[in-house]
Amino acid sequence: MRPADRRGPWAVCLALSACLLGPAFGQGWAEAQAALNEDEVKAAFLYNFGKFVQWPPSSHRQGDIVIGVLGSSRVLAVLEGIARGQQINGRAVVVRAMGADDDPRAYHIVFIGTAAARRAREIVGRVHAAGVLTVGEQPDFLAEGGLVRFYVRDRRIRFEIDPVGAQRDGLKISAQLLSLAAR
Amino acid sequence: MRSNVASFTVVCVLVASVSRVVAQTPDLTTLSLEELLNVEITSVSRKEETLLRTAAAVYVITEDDIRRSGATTLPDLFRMVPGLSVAQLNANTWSVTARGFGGTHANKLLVLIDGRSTYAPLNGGVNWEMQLLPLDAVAQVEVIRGPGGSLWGTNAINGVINIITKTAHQSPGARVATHASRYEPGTVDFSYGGRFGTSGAHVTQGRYFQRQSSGLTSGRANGDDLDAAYARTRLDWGAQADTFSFQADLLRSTGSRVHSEARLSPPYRTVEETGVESTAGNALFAWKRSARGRTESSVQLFYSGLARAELAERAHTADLDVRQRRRLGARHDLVAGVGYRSILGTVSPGPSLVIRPGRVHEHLMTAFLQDEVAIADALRVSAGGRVERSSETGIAVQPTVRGLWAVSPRQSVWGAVSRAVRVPNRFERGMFILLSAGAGPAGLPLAVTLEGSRDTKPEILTEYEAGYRVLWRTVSIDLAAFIGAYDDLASHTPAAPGIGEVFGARAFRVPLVAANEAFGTSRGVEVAGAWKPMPWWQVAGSYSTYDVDFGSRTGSAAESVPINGPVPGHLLHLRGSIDLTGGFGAGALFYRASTIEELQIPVVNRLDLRLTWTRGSVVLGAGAQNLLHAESVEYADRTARVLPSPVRVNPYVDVSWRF
Repeated sequence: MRPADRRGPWAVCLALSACLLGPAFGQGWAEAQAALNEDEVKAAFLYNFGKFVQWPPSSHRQGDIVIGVLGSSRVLAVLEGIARGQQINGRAVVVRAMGADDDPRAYHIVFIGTAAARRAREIVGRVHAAGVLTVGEQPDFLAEGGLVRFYVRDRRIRFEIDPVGAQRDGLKISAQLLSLAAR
Repeated sequence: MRSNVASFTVVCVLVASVSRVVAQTPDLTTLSLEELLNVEITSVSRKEETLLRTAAAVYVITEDDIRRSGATTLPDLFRMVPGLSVAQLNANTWSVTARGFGGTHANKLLVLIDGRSTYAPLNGGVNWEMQLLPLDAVAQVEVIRGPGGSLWGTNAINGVINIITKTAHQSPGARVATHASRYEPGTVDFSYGGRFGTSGAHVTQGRYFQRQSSGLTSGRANGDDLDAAYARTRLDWGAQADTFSFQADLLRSTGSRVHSEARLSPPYRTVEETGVESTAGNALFAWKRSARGRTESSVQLFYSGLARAELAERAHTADLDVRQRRRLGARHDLVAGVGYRSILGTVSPGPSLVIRPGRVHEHLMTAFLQDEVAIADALRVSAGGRVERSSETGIAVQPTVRGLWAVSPRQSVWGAVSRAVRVPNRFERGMFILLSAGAGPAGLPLAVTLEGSRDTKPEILTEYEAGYRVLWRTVSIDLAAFIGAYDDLASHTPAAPGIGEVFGARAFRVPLVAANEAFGTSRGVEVAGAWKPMPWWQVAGSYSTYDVDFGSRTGSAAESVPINGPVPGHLLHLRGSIDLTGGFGAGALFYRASTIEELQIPVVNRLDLRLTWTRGSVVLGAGAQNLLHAESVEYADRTARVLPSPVRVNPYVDVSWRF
């Protein structure tokens, strides 16, 4: 192939790249976004939920805020890292892997990851009216009685809340958290 | 070899020293809810979690892996998959296979794009030069090694590659990207997506590229260029219970390929450049219904049309697939489905290749059932099978039994026994190919011909697999081992020679007839590991071995040669990527395939390096593929019809802008 033939497409590409980049330089750089993976964001949300929820007074759950995680060892690992040494409203945050035989009513927040989705119904049933914030991610989680559900839209993590269910279970969810949840 | 190792070490040291200046991960405790809602997530890291509960040798390529790879073609992307052997023959021809049996028409691996089979009805392989889906449109790729026939259908004998594209909801806004490399001087991609109605989203994507001839080893230009335009559109709509999806794509490509063809007159062999011209279109409609997590149903309908200049091939495929997943009680998870496929194919005779009959209309009916039983919380067993009836090749039954034991929340052990079937394709049933020629007795030319037979039977594989997975903090390890017993393998059996007519001329004919006289035992181990020591640094690698012994029922060594070709006995891949400060990122991929003695292919060492810079919605990338060798030949076609070209160092730059 003659060199002249090669130059054509290169030139086209350069010109196009210049056209593409021009406007980007012109309008100024957007703030570079922090790159986090899905599990890191979910773990951060779970930690944050502790700040916006008031649990019903119940003798066995005074003291530490206990978050149980099953079905996602990544969320568990990230959350353990986040919560280490942290306090919310003067209460220490404790993160535990939830075993198959653990009583979910011993926790303040229970996160059921996709890998444990088949146990969601059973766990939600066991914590019924016990004042546990159940968080899941399978599509029908709220329909099965769960209170908060994560989902992904436009490459971002969103969550929805069942406010009626929360009230029924004796949880007070702050207006701020409710306003950020999708309807 | 020593210099290769040295340069790889240098690269590693460089990468390590650069990594001192790294991006700071934000303190997750200080992010507000509003900030968290605005964080764009980089990867779906659910994969290890889900894999931990899968009783099969599965590997998942995520969106993040795709972005970091810098790959522009599907075969190049697959180089990171453990146990998958990928070799480039020339600029538009690849051999992609798992667990042996390579070749340009590697026919034991099923490749699906959103559930649509890319299987070429004529040769049973995948025409990789026609799979031009822009990699930015891909959400993830699942690669299942080992028999997948019971769930996915015939020809998923050694594995399934399941390419899942992003939904229109996942592709909002506009994106323009260009890519320029030594061999692909001009690639332009665009994508535009938006919303419609209350819940609908649409996306339209296109790609244009030119790929230049790579050149034969002898220095003679190899006509293997490719010039292609591709466009697709996808619509997704529906509420939570019912979701609908429609997609259609159109492809037009022109290029050339150099063939070595036998001739009946001296010098008995010519090298010819033939045009590769393809037009293809696909349309797919899918309807999914999920009812309160207990049942999930789906109906999928697709049409694929294809026209290729080579042999004036035309093919129309229409397919209907209905499946339902139902949870019964607390223990059973049932998946069942039925399907119908109609394939109408026509093909014309070539100068040294004829396929008879020229027109075939095949009807395929299929039904499958699989039940996964949770015997205990940590122990699950699934059993199932598929029955398929073809109007051309009869009934095929493919059962499988799999078991998984979750030793702990972070460890699992699995095992499987499966039977998978590959039905003969139209080549094996009706080909007549002049393989080689020379001066024969009585002044007649001697013609060695490859002939198909209506009596060819399906190839049968019984495979035993076992695996172990462990997830320990930032490390995941995946181990799989298999033993496969192949029976009725397609072989070439010599028939009685005699004087006859070959392509319109009298010749002394030595026929090799397609039969099923070969059998074989394959075995191998595949180990893959991934480590994410820091949020900004990840490393992955894999090593796999493969070994196979063939035998012949007739005891003749010549008949024990299966039609598909050999693969490297050892594959190694190492990959690392780091996110640096200031929006910079760097990645390296090292790929090593051991020698293939039968094809006289030496060891292939390949190193790809990539540097990216992200600022807001603009990503700039630069890198080079195939470092370490000035040129290397990765594979050769055993029938010598397609001549290989060396793969050379390929520097590139790319830009993408989302707005």
